[in-house]
Amino acid sequence: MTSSILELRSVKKKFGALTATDDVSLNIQKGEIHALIGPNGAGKTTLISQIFGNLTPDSGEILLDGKNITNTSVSDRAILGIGRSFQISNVLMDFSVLENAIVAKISHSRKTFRFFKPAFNDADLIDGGLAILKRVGIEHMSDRHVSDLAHGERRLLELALALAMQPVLVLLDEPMAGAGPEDTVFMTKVIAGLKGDTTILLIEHDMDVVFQLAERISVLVEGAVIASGSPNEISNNTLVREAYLGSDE
Amino acid sequence: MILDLLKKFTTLWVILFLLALFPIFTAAFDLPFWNDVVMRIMLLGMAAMGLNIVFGFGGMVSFGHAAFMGIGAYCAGISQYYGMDNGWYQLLISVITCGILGLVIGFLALRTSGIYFIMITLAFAQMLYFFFVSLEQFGGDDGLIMDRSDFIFIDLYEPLRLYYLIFLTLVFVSIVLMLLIRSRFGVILQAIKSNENRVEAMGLNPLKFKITGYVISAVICGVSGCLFASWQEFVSPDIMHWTRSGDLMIIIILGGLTYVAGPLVGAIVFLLLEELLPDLLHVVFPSIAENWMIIFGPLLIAVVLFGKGGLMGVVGNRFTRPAARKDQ
Repeated sequence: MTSSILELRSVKKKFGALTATDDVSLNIQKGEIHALIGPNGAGKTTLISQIFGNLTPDSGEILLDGKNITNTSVSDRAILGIGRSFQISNVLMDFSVLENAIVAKISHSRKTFRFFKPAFNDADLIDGGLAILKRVGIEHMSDRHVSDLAHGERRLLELALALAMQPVLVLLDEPMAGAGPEDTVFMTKVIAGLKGDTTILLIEHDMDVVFQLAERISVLVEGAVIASGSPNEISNNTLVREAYLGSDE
Repeated sequence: MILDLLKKFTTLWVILFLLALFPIFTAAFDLPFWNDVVMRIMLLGMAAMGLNIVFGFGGMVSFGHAAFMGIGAYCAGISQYYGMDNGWYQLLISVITCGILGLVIGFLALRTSGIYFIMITLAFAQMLYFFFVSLEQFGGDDGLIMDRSDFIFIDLYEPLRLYYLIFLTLVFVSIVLMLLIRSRFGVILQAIKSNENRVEAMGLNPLKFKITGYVISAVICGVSGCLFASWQEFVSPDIMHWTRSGDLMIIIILGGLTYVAGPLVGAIVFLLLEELLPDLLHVVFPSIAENWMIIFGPLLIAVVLFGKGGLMGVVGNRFTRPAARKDQ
């Protein structure tokens, strides 16, 4: 057996007449950074949502570390070790940066039904929260309110929250989308720094970033995986070139 | 910890302090009627504080919480009808009944959200309302006349005993809320309001927390209703009319829904205006005195429009932060 952390077996999803996920089988190896690329509307986010549990496939199976999770709820998958950042920033907008991290820490501790002791000035939780922020290098902005953060900073916070549960697999849906060039460089560095700690499935449009980070790339076109392989193999694949550049017809 | 609570929730403590001293004021100026008004304020304020756990802190717009007040009141009324006068038992029955009912209604209603949740909670409340309207044995539409409950050590017919029983219950509920809102559970509830998807992605099942919050708020409304029955010496389906659910929501929004003290402030202003505005108008514009809502409505709209965060927001700090940290 290979040491695959995530396995998709002929996963299919239709929205009415539109086939969003067309018989996708995919293997993500433990510890790798795997990029999922494809033109707009190829079904990348739909696929990620099925892996995370926001959507349920019509047929097929999803296995995390050999365990069938096809019908497991989002929160249970998070406990099993899948973290996710969303395409549109998804953090707790009414809270400060540290408070976001503290909620993540509470959740990670599993001690959630505590009704009396104040949470936001609990020294252990504050330390835990700061450690979560430190992982992506944003502990210096812990006191700032999320609504005051720049877009790129929010994306970093979201990555920190996705990592807070110490996931075995992190799904990053366009983490660089809308971020400035400096943020992109910083974010790329942060993600590169996670290599080995956890497995990452990355959706990204910025090809420079993809080729810098990914060890393997899968190409999704109209819901189907048309190619999967090392960056070199992908850049020389004629099918991929056609999909991206268009055929001559 | 007590000191910490004193510091964080100044407004609430000041109000409670003034409420404790209020009977001295009414005695000094010989205004016993106002004790009655203030008891009503405390009871509705307590119910609104309970509702605010789901409404303000959990972001669930429940349009049926008067039903739990009604259930609490009927628990007292029906107990007495069958000869059980003990107020402590009546309170216990109210708490258990409202807890179970809150669990069932919450379990069903919280599967929906937004407008559907508003409608389904209203539907449950209306169901209960008409259930009691049709219960001829307990007076149906006409209600059930009852005596004040017998709280053993506290004879509610002695002057001010009822006032201080309600007051101390309000203090207890306030302390529970102050702790609850800042606790891990309270923080998660507010996180769910802020972004349910993120909380789910953190591995928590939002439904569990929402149902728990719903049950706690139902129980608090039930306690308020149980005491309301003694205050009114009468129980009728009127107590759970849908307009009262609306009043509770207006009280919360008026006072400030992200503050523990908000509903109490709202209840004070709402019920005082209800009491004073007609008299005042009678002096100034006698012709519209009966329609005092003409003034009241725009006043409410002004607070909602210009005072983001209700009266507490206008008076207190200007930007909204989670109540867990906010100075209240």
